[in-house]
Amino acid sequence: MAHSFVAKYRLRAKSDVPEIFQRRNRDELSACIRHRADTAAQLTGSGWPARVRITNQEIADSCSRLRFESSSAILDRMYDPQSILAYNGGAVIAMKGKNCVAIAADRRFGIQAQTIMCDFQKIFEMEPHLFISLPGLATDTQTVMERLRFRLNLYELKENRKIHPKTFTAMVSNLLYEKRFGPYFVEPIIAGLDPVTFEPFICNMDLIGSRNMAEDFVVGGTCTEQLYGMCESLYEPDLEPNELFETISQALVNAFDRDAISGWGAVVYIIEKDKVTKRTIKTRMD
Amino acid sequence: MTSLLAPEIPSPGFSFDLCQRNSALIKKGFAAPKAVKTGTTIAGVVYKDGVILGGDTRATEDTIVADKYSLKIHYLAPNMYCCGAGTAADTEMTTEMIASQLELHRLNTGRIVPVCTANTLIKQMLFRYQGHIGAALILGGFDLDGPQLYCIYPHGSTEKLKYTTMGSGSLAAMAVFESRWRPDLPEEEAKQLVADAIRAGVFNDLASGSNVDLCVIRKTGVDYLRPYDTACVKGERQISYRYKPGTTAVLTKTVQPIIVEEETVRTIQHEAMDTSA
Amino acid sequence: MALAEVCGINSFADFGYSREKDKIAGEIEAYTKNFSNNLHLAVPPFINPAETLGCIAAGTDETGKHLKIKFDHGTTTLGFRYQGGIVLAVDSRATGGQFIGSSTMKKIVEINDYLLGTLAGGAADCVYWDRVLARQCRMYELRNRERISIAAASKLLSNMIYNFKGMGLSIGMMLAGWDKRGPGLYYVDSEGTRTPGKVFSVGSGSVFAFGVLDSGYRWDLTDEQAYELGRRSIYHATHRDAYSGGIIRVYHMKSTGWVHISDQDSKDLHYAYQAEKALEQPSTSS
Repeated sequence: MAHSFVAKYRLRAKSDVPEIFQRRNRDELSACIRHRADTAAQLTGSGWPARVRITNQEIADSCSRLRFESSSAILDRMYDPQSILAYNGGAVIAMKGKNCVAIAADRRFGIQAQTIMCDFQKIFEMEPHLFISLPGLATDTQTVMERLRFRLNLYELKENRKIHPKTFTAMVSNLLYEKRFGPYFVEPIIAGLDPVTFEPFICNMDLIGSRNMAEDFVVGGTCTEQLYGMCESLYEPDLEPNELFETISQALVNAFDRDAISGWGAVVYIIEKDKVTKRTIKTRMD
Repeated sequence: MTSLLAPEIPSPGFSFDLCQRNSALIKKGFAAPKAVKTGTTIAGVVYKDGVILGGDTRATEDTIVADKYSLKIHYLAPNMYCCGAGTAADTEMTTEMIASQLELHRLNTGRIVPVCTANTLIKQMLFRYQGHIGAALILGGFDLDGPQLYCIYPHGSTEKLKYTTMGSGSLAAMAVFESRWRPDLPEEEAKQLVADAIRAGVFNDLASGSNVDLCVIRKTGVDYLRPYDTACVKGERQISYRYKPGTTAVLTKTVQPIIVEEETVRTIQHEAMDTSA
Repeated sequence: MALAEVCGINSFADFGYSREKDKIAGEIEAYTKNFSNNLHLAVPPFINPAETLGCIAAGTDETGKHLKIKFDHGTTTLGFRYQGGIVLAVDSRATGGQFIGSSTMKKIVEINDYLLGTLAGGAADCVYWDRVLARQCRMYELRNRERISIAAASKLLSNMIYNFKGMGLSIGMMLAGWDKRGPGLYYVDSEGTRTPGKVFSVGSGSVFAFGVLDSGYRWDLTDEQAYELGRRSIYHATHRDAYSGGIIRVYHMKSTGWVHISDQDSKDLHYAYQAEKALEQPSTSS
């Protein structure tokens, strides 16, 4: 009982409790709690499930402290402070087809809300049959690309042969993992054909080089939710090059039309054994 | 060939060049991006003639499933495999690095590497990084002392156990083991048990999912079963959303033909590597 | 109850809830006051509601913790007076963070036949207070047997929202109308500003819109020139600003009331303007 006495005493002795709450009776307090829940629901916007965590200590301390806990993960992602990866904006997809692969990206280079360029290069040719895109922070996109090109040149001088996409992926992964504790803010997407068998190959990575060699498609950039949604519904295996072009273009365009910071034109590469076709496509420019 | 700009052998270890810039960016109020986590259920048991390792195949990036068929049972040595949970890149790179160390060790000593060596190598490495390398591992193998199973935590502590689980779904999986594991299980029953434990993780933990992979390590050899069971079958799409050619308006088109100008074939005589001590 | 006391649970705060159903009716009335009097929003029973609600509106609680309810208010709206009346032009993009929630939002509210309002800021805030304003204006008409002046309407609005200053309302509106004194254009915002003027642009894309608007604005524009100036200003803002886009709507306020001039997709406009440019300067098209 000694404990309970102390607890009560402390509560009452708290000097920063506003006078109004010191003489609250229980009716007023419970009304206050309910009211705070209501206000929270209003403030978080209608439709979003909201939960207010209120402890008695808190009420006693100061009724003016509100803590929101949103149970909606989407809300969390939407209103988090902007990620460094979303500083410049961008959207990229790579897809496997029948004896071909496609890689497509938007063309915007912006600084947060402001669009600077509408013809920014995001897909780089490393070999005739090997392409890489590095969506993320634009400064790192270019730095990483240059470093990779350098390492790739050394590899080819040493080995005197074309690199296999898988080997190249390992190279990218190692380059990124080297900076495990101070990473480059890029999430690479690699698409290519095996230099010997011309087997399609696609792969994506997180910013510290965790590889994901997919059998269908990979996406990256600032609207991955939208891109995954489009690809999951549009993708079919064994598409011919022209069909693959339509599928990847529509997936990309419709995904980034729901993202404020990517778009402003798009470029699509279709990589086949004997040729690479590069198309720029007509998109919304807003 | 070696110059300051292009060293033939790059300096080993991590590079902290970008740390200062990145922390400046974070101080400016930008959120640091999240790396892919395995968000995993992994498990291992010792049974009558060996060890069985199991894992799910989902990798997550926050709330997104980044990879539906990720490989979580990594190769270490012919008699040794290792399940990884935690940060995906860390588990992959750590196991790859240890695998090469073990192979070098085998070439140096000329005998089967004991599992405890791998355990020591891993724990020494992880301890050095004080938990910053987020790899939670289950190491299983078969050596001269019989079946071995270790559980290794990111900070470098290890346990030698008969059955263990790791990852975000470890509680669900451990519940299965605690109720059904017993010493000297027969192989088929042990496989069922591990698969059930992984399935418990797949169905009860949101960060685990897709398939169940198993790896059975016995004295006579290894069975890598991938997938052992497709726990979550993806629904089939009813309609094909194929666009008619010409739907997408093309602004410019350039075709770059790839012409092979010269092809030289160099046949290499295959010669067995000398691996005797 | 001893345990509850040991744990410091203030039992009268939570457990008395079900016993006072009779109170609920009164409380519902108290906290839904805007049903009976829509000028009166429920505010929490704090000593100074603006202090705490201001914190929430800023997106942090008093400890500086992120509250995850900060909305980005991306918009471009503009309005200007010229010899033929007033032209209003707006975009139609609604964003929550970088996600595009709608591309077809109506950002011009038709308050009555002689009064238009543009929305910038929190959509719900603007629409709600426009609705209240519409009611007030109608009441004025019925009481005084004449239409309300734009000056009076804007002052009504400004005064209504000033009561909630600092509590998180986010409004940046232009009111355009025609009364017995002729055309009137006012800018009203939730900070308390209310000012008449000739040329306004509000929203995240306003800097881009002003660039075009200021260079092309003259008092003696013809109607067609004025529409095109508004349209072009908004188009250029949608092109450069990530948080503006979609359909460009143009309205004209005349002595006979407002006229809806056009709704045009900014994508069509972009390619139309581009074609125009190519015709003007055939040499620079590369």
